[in-house]
Amino acid sequence: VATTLDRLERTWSPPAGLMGWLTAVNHRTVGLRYITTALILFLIAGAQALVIRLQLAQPGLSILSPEAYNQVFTMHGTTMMFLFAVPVMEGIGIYLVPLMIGARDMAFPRLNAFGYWVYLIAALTLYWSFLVGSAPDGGWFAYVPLTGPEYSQGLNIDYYVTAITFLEIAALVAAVELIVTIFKLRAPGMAIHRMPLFVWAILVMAFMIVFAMPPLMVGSVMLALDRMVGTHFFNVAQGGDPLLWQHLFWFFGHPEVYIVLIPALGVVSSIVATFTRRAVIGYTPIVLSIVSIGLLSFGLWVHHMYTTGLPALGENFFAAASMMIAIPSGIQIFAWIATIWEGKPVWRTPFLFVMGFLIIFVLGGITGVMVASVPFDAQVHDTYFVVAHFHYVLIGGSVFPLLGGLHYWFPKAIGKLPSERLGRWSFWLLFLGFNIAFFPMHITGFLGMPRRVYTYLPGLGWDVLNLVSTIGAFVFALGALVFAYNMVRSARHGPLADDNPWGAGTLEWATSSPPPPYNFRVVPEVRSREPLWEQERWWASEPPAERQASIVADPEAGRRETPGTSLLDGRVMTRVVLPGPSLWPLGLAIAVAITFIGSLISLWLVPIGALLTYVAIVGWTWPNRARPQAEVNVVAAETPDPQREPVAGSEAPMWWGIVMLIVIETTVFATLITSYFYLSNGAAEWPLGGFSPPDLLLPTINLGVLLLSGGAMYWGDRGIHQGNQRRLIIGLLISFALGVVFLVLKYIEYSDNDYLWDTNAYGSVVWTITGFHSAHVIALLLKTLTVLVLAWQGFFTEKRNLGVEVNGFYWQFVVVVWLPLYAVLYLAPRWL
Amino acid sequence: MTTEADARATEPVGMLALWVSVLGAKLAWLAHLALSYPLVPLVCAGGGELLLHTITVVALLAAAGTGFVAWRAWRRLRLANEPDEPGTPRGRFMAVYGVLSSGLFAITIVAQGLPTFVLDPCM
Repeated sequence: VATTLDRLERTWSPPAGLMGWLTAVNHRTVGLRYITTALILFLIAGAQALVIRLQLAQPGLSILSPEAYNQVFTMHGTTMMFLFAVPVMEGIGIYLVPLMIGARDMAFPRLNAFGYWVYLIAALTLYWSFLVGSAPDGGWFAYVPLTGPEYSQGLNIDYYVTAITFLEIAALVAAVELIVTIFKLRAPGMAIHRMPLFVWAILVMAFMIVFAMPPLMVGSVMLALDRMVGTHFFNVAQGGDPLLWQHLFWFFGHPEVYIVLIPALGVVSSIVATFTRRAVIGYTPIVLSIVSIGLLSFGLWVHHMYTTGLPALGENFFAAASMMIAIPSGIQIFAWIATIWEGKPVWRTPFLFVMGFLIIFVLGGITGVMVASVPFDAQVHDTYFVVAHFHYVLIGGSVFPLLGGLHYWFPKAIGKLPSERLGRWSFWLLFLGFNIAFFPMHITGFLGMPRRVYTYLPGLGWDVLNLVSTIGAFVFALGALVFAYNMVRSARHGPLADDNPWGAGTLEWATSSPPPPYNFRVVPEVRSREPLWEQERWWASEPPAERQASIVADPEAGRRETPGTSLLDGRVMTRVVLPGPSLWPLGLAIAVAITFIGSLISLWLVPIGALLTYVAIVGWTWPNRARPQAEVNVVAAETPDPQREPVAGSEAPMWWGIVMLIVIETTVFATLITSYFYLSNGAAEWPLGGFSPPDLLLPTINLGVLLLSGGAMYWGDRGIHQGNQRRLIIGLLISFALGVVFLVLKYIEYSDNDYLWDTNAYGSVVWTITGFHSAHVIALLLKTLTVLVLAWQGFFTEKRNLGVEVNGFYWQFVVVVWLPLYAVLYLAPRWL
Repeated sequence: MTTEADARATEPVGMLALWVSVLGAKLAWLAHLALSYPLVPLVCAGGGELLLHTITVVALLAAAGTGFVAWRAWRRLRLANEPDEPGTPRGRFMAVYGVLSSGLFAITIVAQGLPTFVLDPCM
């Protein structure tokens, strides 16, 4: 047994020193980095809030200039929403999910590390702009035309659009990572009806990110193009529409609120179960609530736009959905109350935070139903009532559970117990401070104080209320400091924590505190929702030999392995081999950063960054010949074999990763198509500017060329599945050549165009869609080139061809997506 | 497909029925919103409020249909008394979930259908 442990330890331990630090990929390391970085940013954005409150403490103060005030409140909101709330929730998910589902790591550990580096670079970029005094100043939702090229001429908004677009890559990467891990790496026996509620919440959050972030990326790229290369997406004078920005932003922005809330609901379920010493009542309705809140939140975005003059009937569809979301929210609240009622509550600090959450979140939910009503919203829109509402929802709904969760999982992550006395102090200061700060804002709002004003006149009845809010904000800040002090002090001097100090029932408490690099000595087998309460103490004793063999207890040849299980029932199907530490994630993050953030310095850095990105991707994915290559084994799924090595098709995590990438890309293209029709619907003539619809002959030939390339790719792909390397090379060569022909014909077609991207909004949307698709074709040609080189060297065989399969899969996507784009670009102008 | 191995365990209810139970009503709600909202300006121009009501009725029928599928799956799985078969409790979970989900989204479709009775599409 000692040798097994030694082998596990050797296989999973990260290298030491600076190199080990830069190359770390372990999910707990990455998760802790996310959480720590996000908490530091939380403190910074909190300090910004205090400056705002000081400025507003009394009428007519001038602690901040109006310009500085704009930057401070914009950075406060942007940091809290983009740099704190989403990353901290993802970080908690990244840290806890593998432990909760009994996996040794996540499905794509290197991608995980890449996501963190992207996040860190984005945060540093935004704060660089803050330090040099040109931070974004258009509010966190950056409405055009204020943020457009005409009214925001400095670099401020450029920082916003590039850093936010770049940052979303991190959010999407983490989401894909979490989804595939939860789908494929759950411990044997963890069928979907035995998944911890927290894992359900993280799964829903990740899916929401996948569908919500792409529209924001499209919107922010459009804004960047408007600002940098003179497109007219949001410019009314040239057929653009500022409301398009609002639609795109809020189609992301409303789900965003729930992206932040839903994982917190999962935290609450975990804490309630542990501190009432019983399973949460109503597992199935709670799962339904989590999923339904996630879905319904995509049908609410227009309620941010009630005062923009949209048709009242259309607005009220959204009012209905906004009010209905109170039902699943209420189901959860009542389920928790019932659980507390039936259980034996233990009033420790995490449970106190849950109590605080229940009170504050319900109040925020009630004002939420109020502002869901169109006429009520028209009265309080853009006043401090809304500020009060969303802080009740976000701080009550998200930050309180988060802090409770940090206190709760602190012993697991750090191995020390936090101080209960300091915990109670921090809770009461935060709870009282919060209500003193934000409750008066409801009234300030009713009295008509608009949000985002940098000062106000005396005698409007706002003076005392604002002073009270400022005092409350400082009490709240004191609570946050006590909390932070508790964490830092306990990490150093706290008493040692045992494996399960709270007596919880889920798997993360079955391993040591902090867990070893391989998480579990033996991958657990799950037969209930709270295995530690309901199953025998298998984790304490030596596992019988046959179980060791069956559940990948014994890694071979230093390979990082974890069981791959089936989607619904969690049956063991395969063993998944995970990659180890690498410097490529950091390299790729820097290359992608040059592509995005380089645009702030010179547009020439964009293609240079893209090229470096390509080099980094090739370096990352190039097979390492020093290590024995895993052969893909296409064994039918009917014969699950835990000893079987890496896999193809839907068994492989990689397959799911590509599927998720295609879902994201489809969302991006769908957003572009929707934007096209949005602009054409608002136009008196289409194409704008009296241009005739595009000619059909050349584009139709070109469509044929692209379809043929897809056929050739498929033919070569089939060939290697039969072991025919020659056929693979010929297929790749033909599709490569046809891809080049497609681009050349494109070039001929567009060099003949009467209009450019900066002619009018029609030109902008047509050139953007075409350019985006062509960029995909170029990327695929480059990717195919590397596959071709490997094929030439005879790397691919009948059994080892996942690289070919993935390349082909993606190629077919880029071919198929051109069909609707062709219809939109060439046929729609004739019908519209 | 991985789910094929999963599917075998859920006899006597097919995988398709369970997925329809879980997802059907949600898609009906999504379709209702995605169709009704962009149609408002057209309905204002053309005066066809009946179209909006028809969409509501069709979406509601779809949600009721998936609710029925879920309810039938649940009844069958409840009768199928095989506690050791790993798929059955999970199948039951999906079926019960489907019943509840269909109910919730049917109510939401009704709520979304009501404004059409009250408000003028040209307002």
